[in-house]
Amino acid sequence: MDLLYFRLGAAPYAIPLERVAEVAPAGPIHPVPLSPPAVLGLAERRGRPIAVIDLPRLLDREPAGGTVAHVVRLASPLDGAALWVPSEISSGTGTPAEAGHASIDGRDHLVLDTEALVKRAAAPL
Amino acid sequence: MDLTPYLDLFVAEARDHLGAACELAGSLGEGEARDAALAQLFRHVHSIKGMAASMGFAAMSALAHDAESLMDRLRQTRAVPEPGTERVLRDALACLERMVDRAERKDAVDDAERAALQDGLRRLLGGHPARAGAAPLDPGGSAGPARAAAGPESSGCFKIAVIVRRDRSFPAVRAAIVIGKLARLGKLVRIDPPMAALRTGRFDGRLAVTIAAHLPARALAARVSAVEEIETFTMVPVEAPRSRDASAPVTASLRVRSDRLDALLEDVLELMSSLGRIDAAGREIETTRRLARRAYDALVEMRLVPFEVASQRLSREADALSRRLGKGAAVEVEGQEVKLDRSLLERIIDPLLHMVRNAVDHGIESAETRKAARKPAVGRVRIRVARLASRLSITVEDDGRGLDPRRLKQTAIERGLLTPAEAVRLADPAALSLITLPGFTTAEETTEVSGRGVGMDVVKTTVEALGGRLRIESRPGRGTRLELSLPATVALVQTYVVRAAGMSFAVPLASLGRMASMDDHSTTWRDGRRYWNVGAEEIPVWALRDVLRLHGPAEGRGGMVLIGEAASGATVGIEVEEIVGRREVVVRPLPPPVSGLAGYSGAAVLDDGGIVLVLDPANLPLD
Repeated sequence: MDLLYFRLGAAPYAIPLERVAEVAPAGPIHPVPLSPPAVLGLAERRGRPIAVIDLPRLLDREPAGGTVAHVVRLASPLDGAALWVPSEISSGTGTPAEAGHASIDGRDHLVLDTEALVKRAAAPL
Repeated sequence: MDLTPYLDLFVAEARDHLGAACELAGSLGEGEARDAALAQLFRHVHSIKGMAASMGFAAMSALAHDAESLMDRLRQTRAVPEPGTERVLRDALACLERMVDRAERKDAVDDAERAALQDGLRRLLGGHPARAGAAPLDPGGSAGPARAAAGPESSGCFKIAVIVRRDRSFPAVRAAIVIGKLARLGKLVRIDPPMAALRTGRFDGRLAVTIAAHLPARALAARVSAVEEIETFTMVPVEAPRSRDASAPVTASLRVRSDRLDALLEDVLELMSSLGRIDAAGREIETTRRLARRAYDALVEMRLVPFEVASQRLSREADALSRRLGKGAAVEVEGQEVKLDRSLLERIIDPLLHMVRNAVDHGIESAETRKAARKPAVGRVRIRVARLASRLSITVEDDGRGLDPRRLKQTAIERGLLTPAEAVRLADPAALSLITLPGFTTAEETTEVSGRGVGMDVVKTTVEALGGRLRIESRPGRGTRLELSLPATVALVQTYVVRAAGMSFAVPLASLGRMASMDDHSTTWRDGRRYWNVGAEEIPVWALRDVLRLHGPAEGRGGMVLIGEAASGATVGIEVEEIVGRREVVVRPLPPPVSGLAGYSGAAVLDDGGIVLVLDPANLPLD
């Protein structure tokens, strides 16, 4: 399976490529008052607002101190939702391993369920 | 041949025809008006028959055929129809409508319903097998029912399809000769292929000519058959074209799939926003912007349809169901003329149908029960559509038995959706929302009444996916009111841009009553709440920075109050620190995971790529 993969802190994660509409460098994010804490705010992409989800916070990971950050815009039916990933992102082919993991170049990555993530991000706490 | 790509078009066109047909069938009138209505009705059903046949929907086509035959019989004989005839016709139209629904979902045909109806139709046709009388001139059978429109003695407009003898050389020349001979029999309204194509010499032997004949049908047929270059032909009476002059320019209307229009609209919007970012002065860029704006306005307008398109279907559904259940229910629709986005309407039609069925089936009581409760024997279902600011409100209200929170809780416990302890804690108004839980409605009920597995849970999720909300109100014994509050999706909205705690927000003009500046002298504090006194009025005021829990430093001179109406109907004031000015923005629904967030009707991207949140003052979470 084709995957995007990256690290948050030391932990390796992957997202199925078919769930991704686009990866772009993170730009300005406009805060949304009263939004759930895992939502960083809105960003503009192709003339439309997209909601940016704080992935490290949602996964309870320390954000990396680096300067690189990406926004991973999700594909339909999650149009308009995007994940903020503060690290380098690569793409590659992985082989499915047990319990929602995939092996990429012999390394184990946790494959994220984007729908569950967005649902979790909508929760107030 | 795979016809799937044409399914959407078929469904859209069939619905248009059915909508018009049902309206006609609802009030046939008398005398000449009745004849005219029947003729129109006939044409709509005839179109459906043809379209269904070309899509391979044989059952649909057969039912349309029998309905058509019955109409033709009524028209032809001018006899007083047997009682129940019009009802059978209406039922047949309703059945066709359901068949189109099924075709759209690619479901199998429900043949039991059709077969029963078709039996009824044939009985009314007096045992005359529907397909028996195909005209000799019409080997394909397609003109059978239309035959009577131009009886043997009448002259009129006919479409003559000809196969030119192929045993001769120069078939294109032969075709031209045929056309010349036919032209002597009347005025040629249309020639297909056109003469220009024939002159190129390409001709496959088939020619279709529409002719406004000087002769009665029978004589015309005789003259046509005497043309020796013609091998075979069929002749079908057709409606005379509105324009007498075939060469006169005609404003054609074009059917466009709504998703294509959506895509085009998106492109124009993107064009507008990227034009906004071009850092250039001068007339060219201004002209370009104006053109983009004009294209946008035209596209938005094209996507709007009056609610009437849906309300006819809703009324008919309610009528049919109340008849089937032996209940009296009258449907009133308010706001037929309100225009809304077609794509939005397409997505909410099923939820609305479900709400209306619910109102008739579960809401309205039997006549006896109503009488005992001192209510009018006939129940009332009111559908109301209104445009409020950048939102659209659609309510379905009945004066039936209402929802009983205790019974709802009991059902939820029985279905394992609620523990008895939770039920005790659940407040009555909140208990009404139990009907939106998946699994609350039993499978038995969904098949029998709604028929398509749309439950209130689907209504709720559909509305929320559109960035809207479902509100449920009910008074036991008095009735139930369901309101869909929806964003009006893509649309340019006039707003005021306001600021509070260093942030900008847009507030739709239409959501505001008025605006005023407020000073400390005119406010009083009571029970921890600030009130603004204007004349005899006392308006509670909330600061936007408090409502949205903003912590930035205050700016501007402060004290500007936006006065609007809260969802509860009360007048409220929202204090902001500065009103920056007016701005026209494209309001986009908030994307997931913030799509359901209260207090906003969406967000807009400004020309410079910046984002502004659009407030929905009526739904701000004031304590």
